[in-house]
Formats: sequence, C-alpha cells, structure tokens
Amino acid sequence: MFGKLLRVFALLSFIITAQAEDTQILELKIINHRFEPEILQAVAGKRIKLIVHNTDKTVEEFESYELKREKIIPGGKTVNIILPPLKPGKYNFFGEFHEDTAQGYLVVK
Amino acid sequence: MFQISIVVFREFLEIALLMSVVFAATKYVPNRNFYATLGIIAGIVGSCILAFFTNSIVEAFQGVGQEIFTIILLSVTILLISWTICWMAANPRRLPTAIKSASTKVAMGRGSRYILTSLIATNIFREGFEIVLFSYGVLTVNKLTPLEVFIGFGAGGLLGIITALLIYKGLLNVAGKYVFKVSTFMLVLITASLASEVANLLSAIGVVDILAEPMWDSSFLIPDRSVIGRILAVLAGYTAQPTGMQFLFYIGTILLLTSIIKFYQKKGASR
Repeated sequence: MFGKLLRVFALLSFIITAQAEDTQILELKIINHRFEPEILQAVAGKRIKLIVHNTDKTVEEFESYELKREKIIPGGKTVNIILPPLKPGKYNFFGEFHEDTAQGYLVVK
Repeated sequence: MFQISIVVFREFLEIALLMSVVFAATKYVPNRNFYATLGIIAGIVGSCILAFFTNSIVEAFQGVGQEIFTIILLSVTILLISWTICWMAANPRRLPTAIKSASTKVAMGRGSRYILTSLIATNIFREGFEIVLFSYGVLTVNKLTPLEVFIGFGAGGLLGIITALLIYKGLLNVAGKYVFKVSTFMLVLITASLASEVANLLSAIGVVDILAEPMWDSSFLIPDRSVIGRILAVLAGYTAQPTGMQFLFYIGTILLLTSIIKFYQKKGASR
C-alpha cells in the first residue's frame, strides 16, 4: 500500500517538474506606459511564464481578453503571469490604465 | 484628463450593475438604505485599505497573491449573491403596486440585512481597490493638476452612478411586479459570470491546466472589445473565446442555482 503511494507520488512529482521544465520564459517591460517589446514571440503548445517588469513609478494593470489575464503591477515591481499552452495566433494585451499607449501582441507560432 | 474618466467609469460599471439589481430587488425592504449605505462606506474604506496593502498582496504566495485574493473575494461574493437569490425565491413574489402603504414591507430579518451590507461591500472591494490604485497613481504623476484629476475622476464616477441609477430605474419600471423574477435572472447570470472568472484565476495560478483551450471563437459575431461585447461581459460574463473550464463553471453555476431556487420557491409557497 505504502509502496503504491510512493510510486504515485514519484509519478506526480515527475509530471509536475516535467511541466515546469517545459515552460518557455518571456520577458516584458513597461517603460513610460508602453510595452517593450511590443511584440512577443512564443511557441505553441508549451506553457508560458511571462515576466513583466513595471519600470514606471505608477501602477499599471496588465490585461488581455484573449489570454484571459488581469494583473495589477505596482510601480517598480515585477510579476509573473502564467499562461497555459496556446494555439498559434496573435493575442493582444494592454495596460488598462494607459490603454492608448500600452498595447502589445503575443505572437504564437 | 478624461482618460481618467474612461477608466474610472469602466471599473464603476462592473460595480454598478450588481448594485442596481440588488437595490431593485430590495426596494421594499425596511431600512434598506441604511444597510446599503453601510455597505458602500465599508466598501470604499476597505478598497483604500486594500490598495495600501497592494504590494504585500501581489507578492504573497509566490507572486500569485492577487489571484488568490480575488478567488476568495469572488467566492464570498458568489455565496452572498446566492443567498440573496434564495431570499428572493423564498419570499412572496407578488409585489405591491402601492408604494407608500405600510403593508409593502418585504420581510428580511436584521441578520439578513447585514448580508446585504456585506454583499455591497465585497462588490465594491473587487473593483474599488483598482480605482483607488489608479487614482493614486494618477495623483502622484505631476502631469495633471489635482483639480484636473478630481474632475476626471468625478466625471467618470458621476457617469458610473448615473448608469447605475438608469439600470435601477429601468429595472423597476420595465419589470414592474416581475422585478423579483427579472432580478433573479440577472443575478444568476452575474453569479455564473463570476464563477467563470474563478475558472480563469485557477488557471492563472497554475492549479488547473486542463480544459484551458477556447471552445469556440465568436469574435466574428461579437468581439470582446466592442461596446456590445463589453456590456454583455458585465451583464452576463460574455467572452468570445470561452475555455472549457469557464464553460463548465458557468453552466454548472446556472444549473446549481436554478435547482436551489426551485427548492426555495417550494419552501416559500408553503408559507
């Protein structure tokens, strides 16, 4: 019984860490209420960890309808946004507090 | 300056809808304004406190503190709305047409009225702390004078309040004696949409990775960004590309609430 549990646990740990290793890491900066870069590239079918660094002094809210994410990023702070494996396409994201200038796209191939 | 108004108004809209429906449904509850105002004040004060603690919240739980906090907030809101729905279902649905007579009071115990307060407060927290953060951010940037910020914020807020009043009056006038039925319908949709947001958040914290692909794409009909799209999003949780998990939570909530409503309706009818 214990042996079985141990094996299940080992399998789960393997799956979880295997997932973690299979994550592509992308970096995004917010500078003067604009995204840098404005176009990000990613590979389809692999989890994404998007690291967003807000270099401005004021808070911004990273938001995307297509990616279904909303996250407050206080001034000077860095946050991680986790995205599931995505299908190929162009996903728009924006800064809700400065929508006229903070616009970007995640291009998944 | 009016950029501020747009952002403030949009955040207000999400609060406004739920508030208006709850207000319409509780129109004949005695002292409803007292308990509601208590909720509004608590909501505003709470939003300021939450905004103050933003850094700690955002960094908590290995960076997903905001998501976890929102999940808890949404769950509490969902429970409170569900309670309100049950209260409406269990109470006599024939609404009085005469407004001033003493017999127009609709039963709601004192403890229950504090639930009204809590519902309004948590609803305000949800978007309120974003409004506070945004306003504070705008104030600390020197490009606009405090007066301009105040006008921008005021215009957006006023527009939001007017919209809320319009929805409230509209609901009462159009629904008439069916205000409970209509309010229930709207609240069920709002609850389902909150539940589908929880589904997204669970995906955002990495707990749920299954059913994460969009089931369809209705952008050709109603894009998310369009005015209709945004209105439907607030009213009913519309999204052009719902994930399987969102769909599950949405439909599941509707089914669950509908059965609970039927249960309480039977209970109410037997009084």
